[in-house]
Amino acid sequence: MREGEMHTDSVKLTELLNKFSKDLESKIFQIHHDWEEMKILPWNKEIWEEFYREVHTLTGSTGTYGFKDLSKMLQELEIFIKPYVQKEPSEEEYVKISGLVGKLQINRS
Amino acid sequence: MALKNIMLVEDEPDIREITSLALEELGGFKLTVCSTGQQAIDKFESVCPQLILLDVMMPQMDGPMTLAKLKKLPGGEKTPVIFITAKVQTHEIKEYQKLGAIGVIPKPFDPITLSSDIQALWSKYINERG
Repeated sequence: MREGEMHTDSVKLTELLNKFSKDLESKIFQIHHDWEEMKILPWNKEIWEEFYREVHTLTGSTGTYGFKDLSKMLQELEIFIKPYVQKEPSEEEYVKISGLVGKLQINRS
Repeated sequence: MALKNIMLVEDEPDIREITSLALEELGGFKLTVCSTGQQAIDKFESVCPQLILLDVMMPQMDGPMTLAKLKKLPGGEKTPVIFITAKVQTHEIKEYQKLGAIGVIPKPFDPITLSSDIQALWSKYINERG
């Protein structure tokens, strides 16, 4: 079973999955884009909260729509960035986050 | 008592869509969908749901805050709530139970089994209530 596929004979469910799948690339792009901006901006609690929420939301929706591997990668990122909603990460932690964001991709094989 | 009338409170459109499909089309439930806690509070008295599915992390008014406000409405105290959340560590489940939740559906969930998972929590609740 490929990523994103679910055992169902529901046509509507398949249509919904296809729609989600089509939009997913832009959502991942948005996370990459937001992170690139955040890296160069001074740490800001509100911006980090928004980024955390964005990652958290996508963790849940990708998993529910059957993109299990991507959901796990997002969850890893979500868990790692959570403390930095409260305090600025160190340079090493910025590098680690960049690595986790860089890993985010859709496996369609 | 058969479960028919459910209120879903979820801010994420993708999750709202797939949950609606899972519960209405696959589960055969009557579903009232709200995208914010405030919307749930506004609709509660006219809808009189038997059960509320409540997302934990929402902007402005989160799930626990919404639950606290719903409980103050007529009939709100007696309406069971199931939280939907990605945070499902044991101590967090206990916290939600203390708030009055009858169960927790972890995100991500399987849309195919969602109806039966909810039905199981509902049956357990009805049996325990006696």
